Amino acid sequence: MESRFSVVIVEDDFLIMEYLRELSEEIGLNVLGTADIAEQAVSTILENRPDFVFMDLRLGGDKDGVDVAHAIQPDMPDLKIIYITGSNEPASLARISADHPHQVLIKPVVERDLRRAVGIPVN
Amino acid sequence: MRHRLRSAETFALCCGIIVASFGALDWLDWLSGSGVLAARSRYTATSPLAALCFVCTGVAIVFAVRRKYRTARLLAAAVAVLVVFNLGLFAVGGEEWPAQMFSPKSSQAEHAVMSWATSLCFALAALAIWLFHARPRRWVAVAAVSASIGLVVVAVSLLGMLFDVGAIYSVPYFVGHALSSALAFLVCFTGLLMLRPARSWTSVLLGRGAGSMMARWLFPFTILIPVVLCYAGYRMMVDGMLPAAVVVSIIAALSSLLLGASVLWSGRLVNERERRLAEMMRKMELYAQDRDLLLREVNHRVKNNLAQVHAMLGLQARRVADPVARQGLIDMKGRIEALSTLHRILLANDNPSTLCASEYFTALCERIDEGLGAGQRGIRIAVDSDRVPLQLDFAISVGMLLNELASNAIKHAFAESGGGTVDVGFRLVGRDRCELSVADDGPGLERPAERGREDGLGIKIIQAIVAQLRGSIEVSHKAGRRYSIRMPVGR
Repeated sequence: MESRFSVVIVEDDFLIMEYLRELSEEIGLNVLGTADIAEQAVSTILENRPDFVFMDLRLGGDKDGVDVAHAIQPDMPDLKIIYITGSNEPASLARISADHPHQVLIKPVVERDLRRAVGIPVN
Repeated sequence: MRHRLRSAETFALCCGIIVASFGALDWLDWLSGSGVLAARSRYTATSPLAALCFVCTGVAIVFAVRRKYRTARLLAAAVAVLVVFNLGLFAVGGEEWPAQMFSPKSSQAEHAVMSWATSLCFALAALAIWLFHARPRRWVAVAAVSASIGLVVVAVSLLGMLFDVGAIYSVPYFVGHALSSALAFLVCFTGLLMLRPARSWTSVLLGRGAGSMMARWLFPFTILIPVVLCYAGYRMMVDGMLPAAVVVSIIAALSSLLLGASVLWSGRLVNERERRLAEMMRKMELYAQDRDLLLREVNHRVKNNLAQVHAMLGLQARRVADPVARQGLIDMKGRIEALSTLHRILLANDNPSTLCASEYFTALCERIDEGLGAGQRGIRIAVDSDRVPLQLDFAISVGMLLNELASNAIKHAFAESGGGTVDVGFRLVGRDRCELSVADDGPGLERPAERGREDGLGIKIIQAIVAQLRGSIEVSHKAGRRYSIRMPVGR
């Protein structure tokens, strides 16, 4: 299992976080860590250096997912950030797309969405 | 404004009655042969023709208020004829004739004919009555202008009498224009201006706006200031207190000052008003922003809760060993996904009170396709919908209906290996009904009875939504199975 992709999940809703963790493990991703606030997310990502980050836009605290992305990009410019957001309002989407995300998924996500986002063949 | 307009009508009516009564009184005086009013004083002297004209004008105003325009115009024409007749008397030198006719004893030749001023006033009044109810706005404006000119003429004679009676009567134009006639004309012209107040400058005085409020405040001052100043100045000149040039310069300076002050004051009022308006606008904007934010927050909460329920169902489904129970949870998860999709499509819309049927159903079917992996199985969903706006409540219910029907078709209508097409149609039927149809061309592998309890729930949900939408469902079998639901459209 050396070639398994690794992921850090940033999500402020613990139910959804658990669900994403199980889904990720199910499709063969290695979940290195989780975080629910921006500062913790930055340190978790920088420590674990995953291939992917599943990033919620709204987080507990003042900063959001895009702020986290800006904070880590100088260190890890190749990190693939997949935004998983609950809001598809034009304003939120505009903020995300300014960050050139790898993918944007709208909640609720299903297994198929995750597989497609990280490039694991569907079934 | 409407209340004031009605009051203006009553006011005009009263003016008409007063003018007519005044004329009638003088006319009776002449008829009785006594000529008392004319004989007693030059303040009350009115010629018999003028008395007749006053009667006609007053009655004409009353008819005009009562909307008997033809009679009013007839009377105005009569006044005009009398004026011309009066001018004719001047021309042939028969000034004494009317008085002699009525009252042979009377020697009031001076008051036997209407003065030039009186004639002009009657001509203006007749013109105003004739034109005030014309259709073109331009003619109404001419009527208002002529009534206003009349008012100015009357003001000149009244003020002239106030200042120095001898002086005003030394001007041939005003000879014979008595105080009583001038007062009657004052009433007459104010009444005329109130005939159609909405169409003349009086509308500014009667209006409800800030400008009208200000005008009502300032108007009396702008009229009184010059009168008072000039009267005081005139007295000073007559009494020889100051040289005329000094008095006039004082009048000029003071009237400039006071009129300037009233302009500045009105400017201040307008500024104040504008500031308050701007403040209110700012508050309204803040309020709108707050509401917008709150609405977005609530929408976000709804979606977040749906995502939580979805996550819990997903977590639970992994922990259930029984395949039937597990499938039930997965189906439930699918329904929550469909609901979230509805919300997502609704929120992406710029105008979230209605949405376009065709765009909505297309987006929903794409999501159903992705969710169930229809594409991978070679199943195509074709959407053909009228482009009509839909109400949100209606859209959500129809969306849930479509989700059940289309998911059912994809899950159960086709063989595992062979693909097919699901045709989704939405069209208006008549003015206020619509039809949603979902048809597949698959062999229909399982019959509902064989699919177990879960599909029983699917059918129950479909029936419930159809009942809620006051619709009826029809199922037909041809190449595959075709569901068609007709219902009142919510637009």
